[in-house]
Amino acid sequence: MARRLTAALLLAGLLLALTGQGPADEDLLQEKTWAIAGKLACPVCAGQSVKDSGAELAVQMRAAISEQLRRGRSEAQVIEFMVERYGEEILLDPPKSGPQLWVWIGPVAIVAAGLAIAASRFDFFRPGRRRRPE
Amino acid sequence: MDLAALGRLSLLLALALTCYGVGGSGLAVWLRDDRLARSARGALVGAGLATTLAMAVLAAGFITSDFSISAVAETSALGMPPGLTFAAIWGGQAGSLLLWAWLTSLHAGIAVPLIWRRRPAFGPYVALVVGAVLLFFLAVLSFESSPFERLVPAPADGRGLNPLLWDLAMQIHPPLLTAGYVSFVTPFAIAVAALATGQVGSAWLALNRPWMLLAWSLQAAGLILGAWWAYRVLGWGGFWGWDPVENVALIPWLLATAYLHSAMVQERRGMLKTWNIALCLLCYVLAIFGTFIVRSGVLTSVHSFAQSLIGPYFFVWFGVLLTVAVLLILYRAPLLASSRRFESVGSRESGFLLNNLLLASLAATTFWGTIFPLISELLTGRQVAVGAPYYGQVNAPLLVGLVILAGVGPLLAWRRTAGRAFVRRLAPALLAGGLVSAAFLLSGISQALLLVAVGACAFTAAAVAVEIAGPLRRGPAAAWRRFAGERRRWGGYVVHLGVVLVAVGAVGASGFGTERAVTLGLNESASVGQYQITYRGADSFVRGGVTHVDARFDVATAGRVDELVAGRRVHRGWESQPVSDVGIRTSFPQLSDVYVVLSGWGDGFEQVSLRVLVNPAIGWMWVGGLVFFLGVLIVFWPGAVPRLAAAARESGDKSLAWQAWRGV
Repeated sequence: MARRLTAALLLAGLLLALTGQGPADEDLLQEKTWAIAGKLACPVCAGQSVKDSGAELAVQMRAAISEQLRRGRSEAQVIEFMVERYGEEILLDPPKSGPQLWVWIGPVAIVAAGLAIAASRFDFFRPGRRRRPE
Repeated sequence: MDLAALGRLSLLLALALTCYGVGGSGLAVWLRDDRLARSARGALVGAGLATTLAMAVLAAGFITSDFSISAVAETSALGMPPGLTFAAIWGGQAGSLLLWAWLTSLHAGIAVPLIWRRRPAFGPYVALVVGAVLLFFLAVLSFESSPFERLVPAPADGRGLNPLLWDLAMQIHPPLLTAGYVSFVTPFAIAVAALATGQVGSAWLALNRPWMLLAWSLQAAGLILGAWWAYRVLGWGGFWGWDPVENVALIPWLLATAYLHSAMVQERRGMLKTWNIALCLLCYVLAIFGTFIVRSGVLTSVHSFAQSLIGPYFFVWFGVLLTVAVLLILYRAPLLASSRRFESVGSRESGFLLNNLLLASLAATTFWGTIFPLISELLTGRQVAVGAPYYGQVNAPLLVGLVILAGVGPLLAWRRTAGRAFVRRLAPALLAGGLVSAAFLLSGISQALLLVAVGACAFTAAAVAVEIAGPLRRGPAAAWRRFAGERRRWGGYVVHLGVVLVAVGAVGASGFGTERAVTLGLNESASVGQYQITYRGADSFVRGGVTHVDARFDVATAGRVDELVAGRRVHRGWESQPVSDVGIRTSFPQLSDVYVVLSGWGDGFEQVSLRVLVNPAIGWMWVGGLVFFLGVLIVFWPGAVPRLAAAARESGDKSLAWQAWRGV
């Protein structure tokens, strides 16, 4: 009974989320602009993203992103457009392909190696040696 | 004699004394000569005093505005508010390096004799290591980057402090972070001494604990104050940008946190010996690596306040320390082997192992992301960036895992946990976490990680609250006795609670924040989130060499209207670096902020452009920082450990009494 109730509640929530009043167009556009800006480095500022920088160029780049979005371009297309203009080094979110795939392989390898080392410290990985007295 | 000469002289005196201290303790180890060892220790205390004198001389130079001293001319100016004197001392390259040396010299002069008294066998080694580190800094200060260069003729006024550093937090954030970095030297030295003497049992852990706690809590204070400064001053609305300089300060802290947990496994069960000693060594080695990154400018960072040419020295020093650490561990590998193994996944020690896995992974992935641009450029010649999105995808899940573990871990029993009792103790927390996640799901949040994150915060907060509430039910007096008798444990819970609150702030601001760019004419309004912002006019004025533009706004929310001022200032001599005066209004009791940055204005201030952010719950981050330090204080607070105090009274053993009083 309780489970059914939970399921019904979850479903209701989902429906509400899907059909509920969406934000106005301008709000949606800004949200997308900031999201994309957060993934690009401001080329003239040391270590700040286009989203976080107050530099003139960053302001122009944000305007350019909004402009592209208004023309109906997708996020990937906008990012491609910016990369063509300012070079690959502005990508703060490294692509998961090519040589930059390595930056993503690193964490997976680190966690996998850590798990393997930790697991090897347990008794059950050495069958004949279980339950030795203290 | 003028101040510059006095400063140089005291640095040279410190250098000479440290030379004797290092050479003497090295020889004393070699010749087993006790008198020589004691005189070397005395020399290090003297070096501590001499470096303190140098620091005092520099402070005197700043207070009297003696611009014939290079460091004073570099970061001080006549018109600066007196409240910023100390911020100016460490606002420059040479002054901050002297701060490093001075804090290290305090370890040489205070920590070394204390450790010597408690464990004479370690004394000469600890003196040797801390002395060698101090020698390095004093040599760089005396011959390469001196704060006491004499300027002839002395300029009439100094250059002044970078306007971004004109902030109260800058009086305390840099010295705390530096103190954190520096303080890892004593645990490093103790670990070296344990390896060198072969006494790698658990005795060195007890000796090390207060020093590691000191370094760890200072580093935490530095980090959280840095976040607070960045949030209020830098005007980008965030508190942590995964910038290289922030990352390298976080890495040693993560490893120290791992150590504080895994040391308990060695204390109780004699396992993880190699790992603990390696963590201890690595903390300081990576602290030096961090300094190299900060000082050398090899990586682009927003923190370019203290860049200089001394980076390569730090790189070489990093290499030397790493080599020493690795060789010592290899040399003592047979002694460090442990025959015991983990028996059950559901045990306290497994919890600590998982905690270490998460923390070490976080440290390693952060390190990897930080140095990847460097590796890529060296190997392929391509410039790449690794920014916040990488850390958001990689580190955020690990951090959420840690928050959950902070709630589960303390409920696990050593060796093996009885399943039923465990589930019963965990039930209220599970319910709280599940309810909160469900509530957020119902309100339309669909990102899985975000839902897990809010649930994790509620879960762990509830788990810790239930644990603390347990003894309270038996009346305040009984509870007080339990809390006082086990301060380490209860302090640990309070620290966990602080961490959860910091997590609440981080999740709130980064997961639920809104951000808008708006342009407003006079008396026009815009709504952002549940706030309505109305522009009420602006004006410009000059005060003390600083040109201010202040724009006034009305911020309306939930039937309340507050005034808010957001502005921008330009300091004379720093025209290329305007600074935002961010307007922040915090709502109670949610501690959510509306955060207004003035980004531009039209003629006559008829129109202004703004960046407005709504950062839900971010205030909990600062509250969490305070709770964290309350916990640290409880852990640190001296007081009787009843069992030890009784034993000390019976036997008249002074060292036992000391331990009982320290209680850690």
